[in-house]
Amino acid sequence: MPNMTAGHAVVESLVNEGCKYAFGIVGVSFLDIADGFYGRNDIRFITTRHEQGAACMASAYARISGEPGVCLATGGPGAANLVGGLYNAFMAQAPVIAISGAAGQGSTYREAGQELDHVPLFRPITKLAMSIPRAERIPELMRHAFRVAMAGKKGPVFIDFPTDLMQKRTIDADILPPEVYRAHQRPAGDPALVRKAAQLLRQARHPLLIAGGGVTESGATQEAVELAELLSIPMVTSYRRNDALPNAHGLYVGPYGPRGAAETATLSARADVILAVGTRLQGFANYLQSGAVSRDARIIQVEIDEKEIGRNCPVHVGILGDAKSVLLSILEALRAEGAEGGDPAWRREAEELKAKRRQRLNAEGRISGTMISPRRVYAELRKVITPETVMILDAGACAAYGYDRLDFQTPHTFISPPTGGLGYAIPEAIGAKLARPHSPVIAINGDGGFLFNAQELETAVREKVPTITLVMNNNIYGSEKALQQAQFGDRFVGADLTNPRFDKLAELYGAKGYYVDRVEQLAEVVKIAMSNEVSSVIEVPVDPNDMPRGGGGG
Amino acid sequence: MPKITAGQAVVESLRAEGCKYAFGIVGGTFLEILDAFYDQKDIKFISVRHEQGAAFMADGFARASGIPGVCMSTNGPGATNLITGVYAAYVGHSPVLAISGAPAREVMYRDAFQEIDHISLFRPITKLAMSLNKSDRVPEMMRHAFRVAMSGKKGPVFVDFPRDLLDRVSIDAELQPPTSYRTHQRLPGDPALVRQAAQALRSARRPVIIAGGGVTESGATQQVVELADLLSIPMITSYGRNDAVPNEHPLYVGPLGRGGSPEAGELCAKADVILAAGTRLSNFTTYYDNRYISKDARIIQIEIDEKEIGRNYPVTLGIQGDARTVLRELLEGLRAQGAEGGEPPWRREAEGLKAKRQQRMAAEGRLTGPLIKPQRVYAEMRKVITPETIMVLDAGACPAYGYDRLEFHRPRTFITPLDLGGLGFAFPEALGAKLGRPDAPVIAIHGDGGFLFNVQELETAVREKIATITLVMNNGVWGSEKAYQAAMFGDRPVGSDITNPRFDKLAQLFGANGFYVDRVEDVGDALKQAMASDLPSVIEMPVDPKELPVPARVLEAERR
Repeated sequence: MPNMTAGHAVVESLVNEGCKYAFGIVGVSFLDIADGFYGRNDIRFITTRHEQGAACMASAYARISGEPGVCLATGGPGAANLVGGLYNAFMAQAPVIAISGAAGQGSTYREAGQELDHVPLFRPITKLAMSIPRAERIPELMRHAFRVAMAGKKGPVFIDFPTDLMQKRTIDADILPPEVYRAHQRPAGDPALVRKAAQLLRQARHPLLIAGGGVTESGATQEAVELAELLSIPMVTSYRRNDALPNAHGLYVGPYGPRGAAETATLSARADVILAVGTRLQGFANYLQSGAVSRDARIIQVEIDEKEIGRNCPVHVGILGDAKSVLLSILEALRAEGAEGGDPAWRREAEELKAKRRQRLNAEGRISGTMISPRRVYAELRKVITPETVMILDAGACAAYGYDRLDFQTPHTFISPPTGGLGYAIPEAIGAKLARPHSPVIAINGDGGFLFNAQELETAVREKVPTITLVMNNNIYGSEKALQQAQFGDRFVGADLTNPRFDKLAELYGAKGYYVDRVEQLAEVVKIAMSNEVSSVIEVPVDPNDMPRGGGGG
Repeated sequence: MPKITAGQAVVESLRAEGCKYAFGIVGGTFLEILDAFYDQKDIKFISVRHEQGAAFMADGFARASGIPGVCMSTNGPGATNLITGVYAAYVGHSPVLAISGAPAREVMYRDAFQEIDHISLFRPITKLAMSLNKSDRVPEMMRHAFRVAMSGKKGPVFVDFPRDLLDRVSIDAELQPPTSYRTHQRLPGDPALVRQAAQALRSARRPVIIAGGGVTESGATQQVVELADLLSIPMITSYGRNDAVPNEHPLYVGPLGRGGSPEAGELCAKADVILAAGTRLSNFTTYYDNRYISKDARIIQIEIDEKEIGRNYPVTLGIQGDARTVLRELLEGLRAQGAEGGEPPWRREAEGLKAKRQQRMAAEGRLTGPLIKPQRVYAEMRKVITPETIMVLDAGACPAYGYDRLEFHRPRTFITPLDLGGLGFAFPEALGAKLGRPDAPVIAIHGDGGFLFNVQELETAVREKIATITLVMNNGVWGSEKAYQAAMFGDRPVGSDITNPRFDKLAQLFGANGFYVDRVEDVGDALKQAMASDLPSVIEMPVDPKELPVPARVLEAERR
């Protein structure tokens, strides 16, 4: 068994899982681990300017690549700075390994320098939080961290390393191949339930397919499309999961949910059988209440997490399993029976609603006025975004328009914050670009969120990771101003902002900055940005009165 | 009883305590509380650009003014962004109220939008974390939050408000003044222990007073000085607490501990009796070993927190009590006995060490070279800093020099991360401090590594006209860590080099003053210009990347 320093064993465990990047800020409490990166060309340590940036980069890298992301911070304040980004990773089901140094075992409970009880802090926002009790257990516990992060519904795992366990310690490091120490199996659905689901779908007059994050995660897009085509089932994507299905497909109607396309609600109200694959059906109770889903509709839910089946609405058939496996079994069952077709009238209804949505979106391409409408901005963007472009939405009003105004054809090309937190998009774009270096990556911000982590532009320029950031600037915290107006009238508190010129800010960081105040020039500027070898920031002043219905939220 | 909205009740509770500001970012889950600010004249909501800025500002305000600081966020990601700043208040024993909205109770445990277990997150970093469970309990819970934050050893308290308990709800407003709902008593010391302490000090041959944060918090500076004068006892200060006693006093030798004065260390190591007033004698002051605190020294520890007495060093006398009250009792007892004097050789030794420190610092005023040395920057700064100036240090190598190169003359003029050691602290803390003490000049000292963490608050500073001065010593490295790496691993730096935008131009872009000073003799003038401006200022100075303090933990290891 090879002998190496404890710190190097940590890095070996990361490399062993194919991790190519680790994002963080070096700190005295994890220097032994940092030293493990020196001179390696299989994994690169990327220094960020705030640990929140590191957590967001690791999370986005994981969400786009499907592989685990890694972030590192020093114990105490560095680790505390990871919390927000890891919470978002947790809600996004992104596998992230978060590593921090920690006060030596010799000084815990003495309230000494940078001491912080990390494990209880990280417990609510990770799948698992651990503190290494003995250096010899590092390889074993790193394996467990990956096992937990990558199993079932993925998510972040936090581990801290007390400094006195690490300092100049060498251990036997048994580095094993991942196939040996964690499951790679895809759980299949119960065959009886699969048959029941197949039967329901065959008999349905107005079936509807809702594809969620589980479809993307499982790589089940193709199977979902095959099933839809087999029985002419109209398709929609669940909230924030627009990239689960190819939006150009004739049967795809639009994104579902309160931020989605209203046309999809018209469709779902008429559905008699709903196949919900890889989605928690969050908010479904509201749809039932409001009539967006009929109370007589029978729901088939396919989900990998047993805690989510039937949680948000009663299900007729609840199939616990991996989306791809289950869809394949359903397809098999249907093909064995020679099933095919579907109600042409229902198909036409869906196609009309799809067309209606397209018309609505196209009409926004003709919006003009003294001030630029965010909706027109999206229409211009649609002209130049390619199928492989990765889009990242921040939270906020202007970004929220994006949920129903962008087209996606490829899985793993859409990131937005499940926690609705401002400021993650800029660092997420860096992680996403490293995961898909040949794809353009565009982050969409409002001015409210832009400054949260703008300092990571320095990271992007230094590390030569060219991202594109579009900032729609209306000089307000738009979501909240809209909510204040709705609830309290014109009594605004804390909603108005001023801002530096973001294009000039970008240039100070060594990126390219563009200020576009004539919207017809936007498409051209985005194209130029896509070919730039350095990061770009495009500022577009927009109309502060142009708000999505009900504010924006996340 | 009059009825007010639940949101108004929250804000009235803040007003009752004299809170002047609440720092935060608007959010859907606490709009009821926000709306209550609209009609207020005594307390203002200040919008920031990242909730981390809000928490640090609240902490800086509290440290400078002694009045509780307040920060607010929406739930979920807004609340998580408060964590590091609340943790700073926790280690700084600073009274901060952190308030956050929370999702309506009917969506709890449904993984609802922005739902997260705030209480568990804030528990490790607060004195108390609570969630409102009934609307009519708002006044009572807010009172309890202040009761806990302001009593004994102070610290932050977190409260969240499920939005359905506030939305469009009115309650009976049974508001009370603080004197009726929490103690303002100062704890006296046990008389027998005080008598024994007086005895021990009278018979000491080489006594030393270590004055800590408790002296400042308690307003006991004058009493410490009187005691030092009465018995000719040299004074030193604990880590980050240089402002506990007036540094110009002839009996003040220097700051003890990490990054501190070796002269103070030398003095302390010889002491036979140590009066540790309002200090935990913690890691950064003492390294927990006997390099400064001799095994033979008899320690008299005065501490408000019973958990700290005898915790790090065995005490001969452990007096639980308020520093000012106990020191007054001590002085009374000594004067009644007609005690006075002290050993002239010991006093001379102390004065000699003080002079040695002053000479060392003055010599740094003559450092020259092609690249600016941080030590020289401090020498130039000392020429223009006034006694009422508040200095705020960030973490990092260049700010660390400040622990032994600044002179303090008044209490509450020195703010540092203390045991937090976190980067990005100084700039927003300075903003809060300036609002807490608007007539004092406030100077934050950063390295380039830490300055960008919360640079976005430049927009807040300009918008709200908070005229602090930020000096950024730029050496293009995470200096502390690079020094550690070199000391511990040799020439194998990982992740320690960074590049930077021009900080002066960045400041100007935000509408602040920006200065670039590359001749060290010009920094005094830049500071004076900045001090005369009513806009915030950033002064960038390129400094020598090779000039790094010897890493503290390396020193620690060497001594073992």
